[in-house]
Amino acid sequence: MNGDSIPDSDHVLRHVKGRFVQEEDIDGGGFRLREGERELSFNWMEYYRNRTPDEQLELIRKTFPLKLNKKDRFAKLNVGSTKSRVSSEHPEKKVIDFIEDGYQEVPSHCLMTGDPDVYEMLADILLECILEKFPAIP
Amino acid sequence: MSSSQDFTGLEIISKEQTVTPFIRVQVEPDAVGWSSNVFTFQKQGLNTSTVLEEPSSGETQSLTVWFEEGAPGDPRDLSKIAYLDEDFSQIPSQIATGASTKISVLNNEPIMSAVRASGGCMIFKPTLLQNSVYRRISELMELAVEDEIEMSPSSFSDLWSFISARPAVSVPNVFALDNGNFRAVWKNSEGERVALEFQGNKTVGFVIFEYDRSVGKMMRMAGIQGVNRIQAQITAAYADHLLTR
Repeated sequence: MNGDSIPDSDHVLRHVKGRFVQEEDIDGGGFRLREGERELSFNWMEYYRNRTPDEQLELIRKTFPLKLNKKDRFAKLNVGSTKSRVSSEHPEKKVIDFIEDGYQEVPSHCLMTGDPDVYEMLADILLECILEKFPAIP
Repeated sequence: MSSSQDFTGLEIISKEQTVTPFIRVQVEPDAVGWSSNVFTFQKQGLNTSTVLEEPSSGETQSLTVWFEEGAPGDPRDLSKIAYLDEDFSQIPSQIATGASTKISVLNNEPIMSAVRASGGCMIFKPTLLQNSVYRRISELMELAVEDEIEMSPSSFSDLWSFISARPAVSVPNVFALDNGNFRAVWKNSEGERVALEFQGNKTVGFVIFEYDRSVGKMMRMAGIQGVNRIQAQITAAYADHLLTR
């Protein structure tokens, strides 16, 4: 149900534009709020719980609402370890959560909630939580 | 040698920009030139590391920077960089094509007095760092156009001044943010990083992660600093090594 926390054992994908990708590196700019966003958007992989990770990724690609480009990436994060790392490593001990926010066209949509980060350090800490990167277009 | 080109009022801004022939100008090939990373400065013989040092304060003035592409090894590489006083109405024949932009430079920067003393124009051979950053920015400009983002000339100006003043710095990763600012990142395999968002108007947003071995913890700091003070900020955070590896 929308607003519910996503289980710590689950995973989320963040779409990262090609401007934030240089070779294998992703920049924290890809984890900042986009224009019109009030909270950071992700896609919840285990929304498609009975699928393999590859199938989950493919379903998220298919339903993704923005135009995907060749240089874009999806960055995969584990929910629990990301929450833990942010609260332990951010100097302000920030508390974040990932909550369901699906809708008909994008049922896997979810949000990262938490207090605003004035100097954008949080985005760079999130980079440390990336488990895998996938091309947005296979 | 002479050429006919309109230089007055050129501001750009895209590497596809072409210059419409308009004014007949006289170019004196011996007036300025370059070799290796030391440019020929007819009157005083300064070198790049001297000329591109940063000042501490002062009013700003515009300089036009001309990026000439078409290096022998790769046509996308820079072959020359020309700094032209805004009142300089002639275009040297060596830089007849390419891209230009205006950067805002403090009046008391060594580059300003050097350009003035040289008659309004100086030509450098680009450093490896400048060449790498220029190529990356060219890529980013194309991606920004696709995303309908207008990149900030002021951010570019500050980034370019920063790297030009530090020819020995390692090549950073550079990214184009949604707000039109450029962000340069130096990092290592231990997770340390110096990330500088050039916000324009001589301010820099910084994120620095530096591992303190004495306490076994990653130290993390972020904030906003003036471009003329950001080096001191990096040094105070014990993060200079990230820029020089």
